[in-house]
Amino acid sequence: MSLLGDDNARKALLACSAALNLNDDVARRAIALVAQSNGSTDTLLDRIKGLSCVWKQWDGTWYVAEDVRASLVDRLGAEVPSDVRNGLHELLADAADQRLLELVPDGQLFDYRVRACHLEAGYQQIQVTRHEEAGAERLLTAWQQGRLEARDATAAAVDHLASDLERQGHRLPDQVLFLRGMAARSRRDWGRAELYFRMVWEHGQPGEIQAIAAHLFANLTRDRKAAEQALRDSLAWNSEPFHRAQVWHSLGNLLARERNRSKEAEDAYQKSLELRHDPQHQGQVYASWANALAREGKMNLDELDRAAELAHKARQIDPKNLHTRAIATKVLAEVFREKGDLRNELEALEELLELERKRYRHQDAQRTEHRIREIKRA
Amino acid sequence: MGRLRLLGLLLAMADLLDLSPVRARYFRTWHHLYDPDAAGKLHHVKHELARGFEIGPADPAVPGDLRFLLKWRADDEETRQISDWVLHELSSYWRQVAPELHRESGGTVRWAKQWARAVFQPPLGPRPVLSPPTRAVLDAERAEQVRIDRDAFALSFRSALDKGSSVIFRLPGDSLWDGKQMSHWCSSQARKTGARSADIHLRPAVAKDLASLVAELMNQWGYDLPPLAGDEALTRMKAALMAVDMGSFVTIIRAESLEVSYLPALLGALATRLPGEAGARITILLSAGAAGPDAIPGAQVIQPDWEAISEENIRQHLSLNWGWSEEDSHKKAATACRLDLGQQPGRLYTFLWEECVAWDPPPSIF
Repeated sequence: MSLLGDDNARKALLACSAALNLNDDVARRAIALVAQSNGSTDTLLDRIKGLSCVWKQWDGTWYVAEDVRASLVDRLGAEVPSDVRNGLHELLADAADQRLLELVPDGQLFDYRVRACHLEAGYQQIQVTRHEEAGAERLLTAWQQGRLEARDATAAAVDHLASDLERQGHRLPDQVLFLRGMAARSRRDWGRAELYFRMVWEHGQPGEIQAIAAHLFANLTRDRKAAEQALRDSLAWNSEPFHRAQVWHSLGNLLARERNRSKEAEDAYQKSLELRHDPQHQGQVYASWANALAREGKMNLDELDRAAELAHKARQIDPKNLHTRAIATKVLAEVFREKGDLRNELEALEELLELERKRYRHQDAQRTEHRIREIKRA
Repeated sequence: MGRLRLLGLLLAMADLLDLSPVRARYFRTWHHLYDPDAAGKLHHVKHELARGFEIGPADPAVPGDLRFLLKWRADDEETRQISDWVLHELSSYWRQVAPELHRESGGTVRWAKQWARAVFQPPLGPRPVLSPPTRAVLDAERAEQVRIDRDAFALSFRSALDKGSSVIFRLPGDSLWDGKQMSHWCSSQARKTGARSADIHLRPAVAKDLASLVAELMNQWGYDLPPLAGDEALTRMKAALMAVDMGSFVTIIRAESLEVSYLPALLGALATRLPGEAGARITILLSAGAAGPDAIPGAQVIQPDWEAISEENIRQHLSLNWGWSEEDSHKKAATACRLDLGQQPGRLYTFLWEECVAWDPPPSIF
């Protein structure tokens, strides 16, 4: 209102809107830089903190609400010269780094604050000319901290902030696109996830996240040719055995769906098994391999026997893994069905039903129940 | 008769502005017969902190315009808040007495536009400190001074707190609305009654997972949380809420986005209490358009009527909380409504603040 009519006050508010979190000291410096306020900084700060769009948090920090921040950030880009903006983002990034140094380990909150400092520093740095890559790396560092839920939260935050960066015409580095893909993946927005992972893969830059993005893209796309190329790139871009084992597994699944490439698929599964020996991975690969053989081996008794053998192996190696057990048990049910062994098929299906219910796979459970009823009627 | 009336007005004004420590002597002697409550102690500290006051020309070059100079013994956030609380109340009375005094004195007694000025001096020794309950009274008094309307909600909030209800109030969290001011009022009222209060912010721009949110809540209740997964953190929080005689909890959740998968679980957990436990479990959920879940197990979800603030309610606020005359409060309320501020209560607060604060240094709203 009256604040936006006053040039200094407006600039002070724009300066504050650039930050994700502020304390009074950092805000004073930001206001002094952008509004050139000299003696009136404290008055401007008080006026800004009194606005309804400014929220104070329990730890004394405060922020400009998101429903107005996005438009203020755009105005900052339009009204403030780029050298001043660079200075502002550097100041805010340095302040986040300073906070990081002052943190005292105190449990869960410490973990969050470390992440928040990396996120703020990365978001600010990425907006400083020629520091984009360093900023993107900081965002990735924020994501790498903590457990799965924390990673999901970080990816979601980067995804949200990326729209600010896009609107201001910043090119989004691979790290940001990758995190946007991860955010889309965790909210099950498969279309967006595929889009972002494809963008990272198509940039063709070898590296760890690029290799992961290529792998995840391949698992999402329906374009088999692109998927195969992405998986082969992924193998080339990251030599780490853990990663390669997963990619060979995915490549095996992809090739197994194509006629006449079953040998290549088996080679891929074999390579995957050679790279990782933990029960979880071995169980999953054997279950996938068995599934591929069962699909391929209909009307071929030898193949069916091999599929059953691999399915039994998967169940023995990792008996507690519900996912592995469900795939392997389903393979066994199919093998028994092909062989006309209804009694054993029924037994396998009843176990499968229990596993599907435990995994909350209701639609799969309904299909299994339907088949059980059919057998019982027969 | 005119002179007597003038004398009466002068005495009234002098009495009103007398903040000298001697007025708190009852509490300073050891003959007092009872221990004052938190509000009484606040008044006591107010007098103790006041170093003195003067009434003199605001500007030596303009001797006719008077100013009330109030000196405090300390310079810190608490003293400044006490000063603002006092000056807000004094300004309200001053607005009623000053025009009469001006008229009865034939224009001799005139006040500067910024009629009062607070001066904060460095303390010369230990200063009286407010206990947490007294501090809570100060916060609540201050929030009540600035609250505009929402009487019906205020009543239902107080009732829920008094009756020990389990309620989720959905309020608008948009910047144009007054959710910020009212949630601040709620937490101050809660603390005044001894309830535990905490606030958390769900923001899409920061990477806060469920465990970190719960850690923030529990930290405000006085617990530290080790690194945990979200569901484990929620279990710890429920255990704290299930403890015997924990009293009431008031939680403010500002959600910039409702696309948070754990929000229903969090709201449900905040309603947890032992069967038969009397303490209230109140959550104020602030979101765009007061959106949110319609039902949460264990809690009543209420979306209070949250209309635009009417001209009459603005006028009443100006008259009762700021001391404006009938005519002036009408004029200012009409101006506010012409600017559509009744529809944008968040901005109305800023507008009235700038119109009504008549002392230096001007306080922050919150």
